Amino acid sequence: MNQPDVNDNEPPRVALFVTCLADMFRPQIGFAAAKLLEQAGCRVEVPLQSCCGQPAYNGGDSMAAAAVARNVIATFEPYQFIVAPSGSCAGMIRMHYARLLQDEETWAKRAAALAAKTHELFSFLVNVRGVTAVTAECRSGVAYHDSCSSLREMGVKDEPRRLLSSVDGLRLCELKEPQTCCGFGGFFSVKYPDVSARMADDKITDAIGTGAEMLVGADLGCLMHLSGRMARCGDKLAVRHAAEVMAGFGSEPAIGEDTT
Amino acid sequence: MSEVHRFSQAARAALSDTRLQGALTHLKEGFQVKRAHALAGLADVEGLREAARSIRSHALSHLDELLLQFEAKVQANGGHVHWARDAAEARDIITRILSERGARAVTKGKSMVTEEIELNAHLERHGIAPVETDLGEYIIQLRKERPSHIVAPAFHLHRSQVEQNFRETHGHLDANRPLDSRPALVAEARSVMRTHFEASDAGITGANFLVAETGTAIIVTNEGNGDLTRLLPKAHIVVTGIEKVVPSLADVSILLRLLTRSATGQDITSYVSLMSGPKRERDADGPEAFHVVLVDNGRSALLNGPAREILQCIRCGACLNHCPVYGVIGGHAYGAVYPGPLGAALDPGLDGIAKTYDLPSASSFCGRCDSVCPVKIPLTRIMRYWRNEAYAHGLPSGWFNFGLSWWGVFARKPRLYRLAAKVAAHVLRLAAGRSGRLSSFPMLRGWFAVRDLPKPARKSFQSQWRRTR
Amino acid sequence: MTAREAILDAVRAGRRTEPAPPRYALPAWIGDTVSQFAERARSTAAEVHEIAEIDDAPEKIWSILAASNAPRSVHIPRNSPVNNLPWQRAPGLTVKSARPWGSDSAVSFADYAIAETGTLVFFSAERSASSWHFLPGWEFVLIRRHLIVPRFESVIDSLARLDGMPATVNLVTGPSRTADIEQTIERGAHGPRELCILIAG
Repeated sequence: MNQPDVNDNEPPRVALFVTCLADMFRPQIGFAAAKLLEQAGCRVEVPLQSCCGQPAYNGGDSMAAAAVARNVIATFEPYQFIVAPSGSCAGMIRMHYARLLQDEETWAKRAAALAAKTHELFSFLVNVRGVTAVTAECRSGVAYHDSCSSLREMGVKDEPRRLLSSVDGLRLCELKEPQTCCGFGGFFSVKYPDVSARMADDKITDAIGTGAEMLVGADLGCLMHLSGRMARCGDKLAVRHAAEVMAGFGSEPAIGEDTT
Repeated sequence: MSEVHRFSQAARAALSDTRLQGALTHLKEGFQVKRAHALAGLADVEGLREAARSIRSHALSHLDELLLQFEAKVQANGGHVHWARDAAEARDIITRILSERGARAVTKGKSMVTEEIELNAHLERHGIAPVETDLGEYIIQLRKERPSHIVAPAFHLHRSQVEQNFRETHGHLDANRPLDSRPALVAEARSVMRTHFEASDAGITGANFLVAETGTAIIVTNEGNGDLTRLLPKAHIVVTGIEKVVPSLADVSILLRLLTRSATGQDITSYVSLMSGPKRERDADGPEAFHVVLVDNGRSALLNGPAREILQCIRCGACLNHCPVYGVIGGHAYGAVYPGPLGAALDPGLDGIAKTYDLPSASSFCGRCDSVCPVKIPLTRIMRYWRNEAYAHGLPSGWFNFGLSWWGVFARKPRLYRLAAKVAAHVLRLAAGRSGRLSSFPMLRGWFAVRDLPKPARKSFQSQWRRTR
Repeated sequence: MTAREAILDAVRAGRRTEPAPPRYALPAWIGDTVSQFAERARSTAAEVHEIAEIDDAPEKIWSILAASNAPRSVHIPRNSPVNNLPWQRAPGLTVKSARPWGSDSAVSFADYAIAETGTLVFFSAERSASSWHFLPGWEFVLIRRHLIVPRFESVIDSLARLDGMPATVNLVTGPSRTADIEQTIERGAHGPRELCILIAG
């Protein structure tokens, strides 16, 4: 087992779990997360990574998910912390890896050890690094979308709001039904598109109803689903990951708007 | 037509059914709000939930002991206990009890188990006419529909639909009578039902709980129909799943506190009835014969497997009321006896995963059901188990499972994965051209049917990071 | 193998070692039990009156019925001790022993009342007709103060002291109701539309 040495005088070594979606579709989320972590005094590293395994896990192929999990554990366990700009991926590692590998004693222990130091980005910044404010500016009404995994699996609720509220000029708007799922749910969005689209429509109506000009969240899957639906239906709300706004990238092209 | 298409078709129809959609808004404004309000009146909700969970879980761990104790007590009280391995055996037992008594007119209290075993149709084929006495069940019986919700079976209907059914069925009443208000409909149901209650040869009810220490079956209602079903006829038959038994009345008291609050937001229902056998010799009234039919129908198999905890369910309906999928498609679209998260976890055990594949699959795994279940059933985890079962059995066949197994091969080798992602990004970027998004693509039809996809980045995060660090 | 044996066999295979959970400790009961019962019962749409003595009941019931459109009669089961009350003090009321129906009124004693939920408890017996709590349009229930207990748990203790369970124990809270049409409450679905409770010193 490859556990890190922790020296309190050095900045903590944080491995960024960028997420497969951000890696491919929106790298600026990775850069935003790295910037926020560095501003919070961390040393950020990005080991070679693919995915947390959740698609196979929720798709019913536990064996494949376990194989991916072992890979992730071996790659990330040397670090002091693992931070993901995603409640869903952080949740997969923190809440599900140990159960997935429960029949293999050593791996189960390693999974539990990794879980203990895996965090969602905003809760890590606020609760572990003690960050109370960010130094960005964004003069906009911004609605925050709590993804279900952030809210229910990782218990993240106040932290992103606190950080967004500290963004200069930002007007934080609350959805009427933050507890109701947006309809992404991974493969659910592809297998049951009509139901998924209807859930998106309800969430979009809620978001537009707040009067915000921008919708942000912690999970790119939800955000791609919502922005994609809005584009199809002609709704005009800019969608970004909340980390982008906090890192000062809030005026870069929104999701689906990047023509480069 | 494959099961996937049937569910998706039904869901699509439900989404465009404006009447149903109107009724579904009652879920949020009604059930959700009422439950939250009722629970706020409790000092220690989480403590009670854990107590309730442990009572139900412990009962399942000793289920055989409890069933034997229950049986002995019922018999000591002068009642009879029957055991049915499956729906067919249960139907035969009930039909035999009724035939031996010469019972032709039968009243029924609300019972999801009798829906599960499809009792009514069977009785009708044998010349026995069962009348549902719960108002919601009565209405859907007239419409020849299944219940769309386990607590509020007719919630999907508008009162004009109920009026139409009453006018069609209650032909002996004045055709010019006004029936366009809820009080009028309820008053008519009340008087029509009285004749059925009085004429009944036998009453059939379900049971919310069975109590081993006293041989008691318990029902909770607001209407009082269950009691008139039990008390007026000469025979009372309780039809129940084997998993309903708990050790003591004290256990029931804890469970009851959460059941009524979780289901309808009431601290207690108008009626809670403890039924322990036939009338005692000198009692002023009550049934002369008392029969309990214990139905297995797949439950014992579930007990010994990874979906075991679903048997803890106390049928409150909170999971349905908070499910975002149920909340937009209603109960009938599921095409199964038990809809919503409850059905997604239970129906594959009763009907097999091949027939019920869509139920655990048509979930976004938001986890809201887990958070509201009064007995803390890990519904999402059980649904994931059924997905594993489906995948292991090659369900559904075709592109999805094929794609998933290949994805698995790639994902465990990051270098290979990143190479494949690079190729995929390149292809998608070509298809997108100069736009920031794609609105169609020959693959992932389900995604593009209803939404656009953002164009992937020219270079992945990891390749950009490695260049700059 | 019989169905019974097959099911028990299958269920045995699902046995687990699991210790019995500790009895959940409800918070200590505080406050006046009788007034809490009255308050809770009223919140469930039951009418609640306090009378000085049980013998005042006939006159009280007469005054309530006289102010309404209901028939001037009450139904009392033949063997019920309610018959022994001074009904002659309410000469305007006819006492009937036939089963109540439709809009009729019935009178009974409750065996216990539960303050936590405003609930009345009835045990089936020779002198107590269970179905009569569901047949009339208006039910009048008499309960003596000392039989009002905090919680159902107290009733369970009393049941344990009996020689076996009654065939039927009914817990009645408020009048009958349904929300089965458009999720809106309507009273008097099958059971009584009105429930009136008299608490006697």
